[in-house]
Amino acid sequence: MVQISALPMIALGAGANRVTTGVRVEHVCGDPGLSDAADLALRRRIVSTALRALETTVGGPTRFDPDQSERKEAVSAT
Amino acid sequence: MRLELGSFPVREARFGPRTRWIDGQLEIDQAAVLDLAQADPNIARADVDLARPGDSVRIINVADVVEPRVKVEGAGVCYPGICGRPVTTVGQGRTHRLGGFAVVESVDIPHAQTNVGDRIHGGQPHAYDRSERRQDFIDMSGPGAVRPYASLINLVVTLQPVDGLDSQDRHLATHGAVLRIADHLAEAVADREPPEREVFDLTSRDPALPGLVYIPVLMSSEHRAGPDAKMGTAVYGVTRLSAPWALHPTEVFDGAVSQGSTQLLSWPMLNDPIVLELARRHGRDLNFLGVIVHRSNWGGQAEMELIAERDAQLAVLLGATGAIVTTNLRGRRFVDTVSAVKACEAAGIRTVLVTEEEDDEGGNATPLLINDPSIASAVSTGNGAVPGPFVPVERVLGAHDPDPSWGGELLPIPGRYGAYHLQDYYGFGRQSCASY
Repeated sequence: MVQISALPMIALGAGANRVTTGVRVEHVCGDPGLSDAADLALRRRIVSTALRALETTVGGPTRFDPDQSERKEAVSAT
Repeated sequence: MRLELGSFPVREARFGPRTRWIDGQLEIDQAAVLDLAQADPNIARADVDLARPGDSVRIINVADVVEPRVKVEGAGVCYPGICGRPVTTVGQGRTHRLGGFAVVESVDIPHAQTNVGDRIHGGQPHAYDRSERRQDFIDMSGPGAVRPYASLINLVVTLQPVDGLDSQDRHLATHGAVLRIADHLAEAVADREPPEREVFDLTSRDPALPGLVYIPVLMSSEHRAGPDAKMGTAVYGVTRLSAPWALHPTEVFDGAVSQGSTQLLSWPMLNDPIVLELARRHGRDLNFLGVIVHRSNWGGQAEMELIAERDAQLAVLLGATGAIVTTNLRGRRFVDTVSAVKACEAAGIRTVLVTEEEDDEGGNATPLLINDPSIASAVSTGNGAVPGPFVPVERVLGAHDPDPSWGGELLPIPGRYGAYHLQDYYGFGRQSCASY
């Protein structure tokens, strides 16, 4: 299982094995402040990070942050 | 800064022809108090009653509990910035207070499903309103008389705002009225010689003693009520999410931090035993360098960590080697709190966390939402569990026509927003502990 959380500290503390860092409590898996295209790219990046986390073997609670370099490409492409 | 706090203990209060304090007896001019309440046309109706410790009384619709304080020397006014009061820096000179006495602000909105919850949620119905309605009461006697206000003589001011006000205007009307009344009462002791006085002189520091800061994490109402909201816990009247505030400890005694919602009230801010004890020990055991107010309720962990880093940086700038961190609401705010502990420890500041524990959920829950190894030492103020039931009472104050169910037995509601929780963040509770 993977949990996408704006507050990974709580998820990891509760013992979730795979935690992907989301955006904010109010909008975990996207950002309404971005353009539609940039928001879509951000959502894809978070979800693909979560999917990568699912494919990774972990020995205990592990945090997976969405890749920052991917974000730059996605934002500049819009 | 140096502040002298003159206390006028109130041992008995009654209504009389004029407001005056004589040797522990507080006489209150009821007509004058009612006039002050109704000076604002947004107040449709006001009533005042007295509630004493041990009375068979339940005070409902509690929006705030305010201790009358007045500055008699030094700049500014008590409760600065609140409801349009001046924002001049306070904490210097002399302040007089009525001890063991408070003005209770009860906001009565007839036929409303929500009251205090409604105030903080910007007028929008909220899932928690029903339980919040059940937790904002004070029992003055019986097994439910566990809140610190149950040991005070309370002037209960029941205020009914006019119809059609938004939550902001309603707050300005009711809290403004309560501050006018508190000012009027405190004014009665402004020219008197205080029978008890305490001097907090923090001007000099002893380099041989360790330096401490106090970091209260205080939730902001911004996410629900907006950045310019006047209601909610405020520093000099400002409620918004901001970088941490650095305050001189004596500013706290003049009400630089006040207000709140539901059980987060003004009175505990000015009477915080941690601030009092640190200030009393200044120059003897330690140097009390400052109060760093961390505003919480950020939406993401990165922001919470940033503010925590700024807490630590301020503490380092002030020269602290030790810190005490408290929190006034957990849930996501606990990430702010633990981040503050972490950041201080990482900066080489030894840090103690003081917190209420979570509900134990029948033994299934951990006492702390987050157990981080950086929490090297912690003090528990209990889990706030009031076993109840809250026994029937003879009189219900705080509403002009209270629902009869308020006078009956009330069952404790479990959960952070329920009556089950004492919300004792700073160690007021009269609780015992056992070691196993």
